[in-house]
Amino acid sequence: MNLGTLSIRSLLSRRWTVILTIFSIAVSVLLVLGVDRLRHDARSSFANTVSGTDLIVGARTGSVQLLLYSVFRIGNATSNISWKSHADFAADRRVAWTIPLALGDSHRGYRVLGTTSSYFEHYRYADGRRLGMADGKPFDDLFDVVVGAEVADALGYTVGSDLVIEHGLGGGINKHDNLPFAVSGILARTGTPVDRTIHVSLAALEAIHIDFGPAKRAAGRELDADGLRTLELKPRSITAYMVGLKSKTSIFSLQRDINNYRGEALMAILPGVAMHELWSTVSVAETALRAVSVCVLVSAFLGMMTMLLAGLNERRREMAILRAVGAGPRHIALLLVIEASALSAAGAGLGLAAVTVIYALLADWIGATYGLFLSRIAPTPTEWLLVAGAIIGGALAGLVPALRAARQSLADGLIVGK
Amino acid sequence: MAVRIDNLAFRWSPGGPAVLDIPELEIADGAQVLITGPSGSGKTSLLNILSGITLPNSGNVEILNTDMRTLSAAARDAFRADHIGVIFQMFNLIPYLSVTENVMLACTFSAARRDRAAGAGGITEQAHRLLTSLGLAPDTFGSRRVDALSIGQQQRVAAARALIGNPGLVIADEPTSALDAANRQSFIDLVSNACRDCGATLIVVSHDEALFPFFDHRIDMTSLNARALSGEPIS
Repeated sequence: MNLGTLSIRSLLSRRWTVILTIFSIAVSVLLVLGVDRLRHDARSSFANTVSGTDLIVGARTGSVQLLLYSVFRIGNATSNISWKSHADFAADRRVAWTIPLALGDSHRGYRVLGTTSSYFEHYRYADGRRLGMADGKPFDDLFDVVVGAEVADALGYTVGSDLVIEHGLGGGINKHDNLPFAVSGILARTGTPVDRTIHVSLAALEAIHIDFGPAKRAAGRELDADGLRTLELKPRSITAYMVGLKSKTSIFSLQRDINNYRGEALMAILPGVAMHELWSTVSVAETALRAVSVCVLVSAFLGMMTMLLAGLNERRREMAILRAVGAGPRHIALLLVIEASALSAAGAGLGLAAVTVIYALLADWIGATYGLFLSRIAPTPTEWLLVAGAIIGGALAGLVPALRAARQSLADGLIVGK
Repeated sequence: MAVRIDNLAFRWSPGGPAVLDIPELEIADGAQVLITGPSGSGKTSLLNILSGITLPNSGNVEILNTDMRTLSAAARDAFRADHIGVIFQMFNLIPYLSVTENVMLACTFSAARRDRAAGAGGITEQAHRLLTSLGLAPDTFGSRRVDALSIGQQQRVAAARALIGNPGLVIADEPTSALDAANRQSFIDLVSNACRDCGATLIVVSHDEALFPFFDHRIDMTSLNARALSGEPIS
């Protein structure tokens, strides 16, 4: 029998309060670790949205705004850029490829993106992964549509489904319902905004709008689908384009050239830099979430302190007996510190186990549902460190009841409750 | 000499009235002594001093030929662990330990006791032997929960704990007051025999007159501590 076993036996004799205390510590450790993991995964998932693109070019605006609408499909461009300027830079000898992006229309709440086959060839996400087709093929016909995985799931589209593209961002006033768009392919899930996007060719976007333009008057008649197919539809403007370079070393020279382009006000941004800028604006929420989870942990330790302190009065007899067999006040204090450490170790261990198990069980589901890919299942060194910190914190919290018990046992001596 | 006290004075607060004022007290090794006296006569304070929990404000206290004043508080705790067994009036046992574990608890804080118990055939073995000699068969009682025992049985477990590892001195504070007459006699008989077997000095503090016949030495606190009780200033 030593102090360690003695304190464990003592804890076991108070099973229910001990179990509740361990649970409250476990839950808060789960929260701290869970928030940390989600934060990490949200961040890497965010950073994974676009990869391999050296520059994003759009009309002159804020770099975060350009990033938001071109990559995240959030918000709108203040103005478009001309196809001519895109063609100028696409032909630049430093440029390997470009992906034109034309936004502005929507379909049942999902954004419609006009682009070219270059999109399926060059778009990269998450460390250079290519877009894959879950079903069907990229667009070929003028009225072919390629939908993201989430769109297909949410709207129940399969290859061959008909759909109607709306002009503007919904509302359904100007439905181009005379044009027979059909799903030609469904993209594999990426966990990026691509999943929520409907892709059509740039020519198709022109076809949608030709109705409203002077072409209709020029033609003097309502154009039908086959009539449109015969027309040579050339895009006049796009919203933005992504640029891949032959050599990374020319990033800044090309960026400078684009920013100084005389034809119109263009802006080229480095996606990584803009991402960082964007993330730092949301990091306030991240910090707040973290602070809350740490507060919960602190309150769990306060709960443990309360439990140990409340138990001391009932245990005066126990302490007097220990004093009688030769325990000093420091042994009594040590006993309480061991109890606090054992409680926090059990709680922290349980919390870590819980976060690991929950992650392992939910990783697939979260990936499929939210497109948030949970990267690591096994605890990382940082997490072990966090757990060690929680145990040390618990032991320190145990110092308060420990000192109180030592003082009480010193005052009581051997004579208690006589 | 198991206990030697010279001109001892003890008060709760400096400058306050003396609680103990004992000119002289000597208890020989191996003696069995009953200290009697009404409540308020300073028995508890004397017990705290004899067990090394507190030090007197002045005067000499030697326990088992060790001057208590030369020891720090921690050293006195260690000294108690090594050399003194204590039996309380009641609630002697830790409820979450078994009978045998309660007996062996006395070895937790003292390597010396562990060694002596090991020398006497092993810690568990000595615990079982002591329980047997106190009328508690280890096979029946050893692994029982202590709250399944009667108060008389609990007191005997406490006696076994006081004696394991052969301490030089056993101090019992009203050990029989919670027992009925029959249990009282057998308890004192068993404890005094066990102490004789181990060669331990036994000091029992009690106001129970029924215990008088069992002790050859009796000390009355009212006469031992007369000066403090009469309120005379200490010279």
